[in-house]
Amino acid sequence: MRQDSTVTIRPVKRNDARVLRDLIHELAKYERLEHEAIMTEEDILRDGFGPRPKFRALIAEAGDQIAGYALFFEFYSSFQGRAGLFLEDIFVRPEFRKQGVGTKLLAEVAKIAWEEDYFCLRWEVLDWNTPAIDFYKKIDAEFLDQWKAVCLIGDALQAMSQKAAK
Amino acid sequence: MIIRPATREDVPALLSLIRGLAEYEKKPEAVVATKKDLLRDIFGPQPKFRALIAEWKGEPAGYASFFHFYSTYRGRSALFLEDLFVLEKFRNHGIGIGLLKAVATLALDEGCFGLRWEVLDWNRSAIEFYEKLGAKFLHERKVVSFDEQATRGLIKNM
Repeated sequence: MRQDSTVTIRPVKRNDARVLRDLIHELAKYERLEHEAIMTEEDILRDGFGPRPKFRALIAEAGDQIAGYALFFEFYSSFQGRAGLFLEDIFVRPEFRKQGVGTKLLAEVAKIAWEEDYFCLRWEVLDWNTPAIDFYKKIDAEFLDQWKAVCLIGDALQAMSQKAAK
Repeated sequence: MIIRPATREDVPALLSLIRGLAEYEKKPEAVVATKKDLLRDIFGPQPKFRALIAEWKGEPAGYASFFHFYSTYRGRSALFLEDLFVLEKFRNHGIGIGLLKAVATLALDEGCFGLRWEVLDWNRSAIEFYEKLGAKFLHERKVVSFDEQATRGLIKNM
């Protein structure tokens, strides 16, 4: 166990691109989705630090070691007429768990959502990930169980784009 | 049928279509957006979403709204389809397919890896429609949210 008192949360920097790539692949492995993870360091530099960044990220450090990250971006609600923040990833490396690192990351993202006037913070969790689900329940997150996530990718997307309207 | 990007002049019609969708989803009170919000967030200096309007014989019949949505695993964006709605009296003319096709084409043209959206679990007709089109249901994924109050609570308790 390492000391939680030394955990600091800071915005990601360009020279974190490599470690952020590693963290993303570690999360994919944890989610048993490593076959989907093809993100490269170049992708991170282009999409996180270019003229129109597509995401923002925070890094958690325990002492001088990288303990985890949170990554998020805006989404929009046409009903609200306002944007919310979507938390795409939150991840803590196994050796740094149970020390409040995840809570600190989530609180920092919530603070950004609050200060920047987003109407809510949203994310998704895999249904077998009970430690995460329990954690979110404990902090009073609302589970929108009526909503099912759907996607159209690859060949099905191509086929849709070529479909003749009736 | 004509499908085209929404213009500033469409904003009142778009807002009433959004209200139509909320009624269909059994939560008419959920729409607090105003015309001013939509004007700012579609046409302002920092656009937050885009919308397509479907016209049937010159009348606004439906709409799709969407924005970019990043995937860290892919290192690319998908288009997130926030809303897809056709007014009841214009259904069964292929307008929903027309809108979805237009959004799918934009996704491919813009180098997105896919389209993402969400559907209410009781909305059988929509679910069947998406199944027929080869959409994949991500059954493992649960959607979680913190509203403003919960967000404030979280910050306070940290």
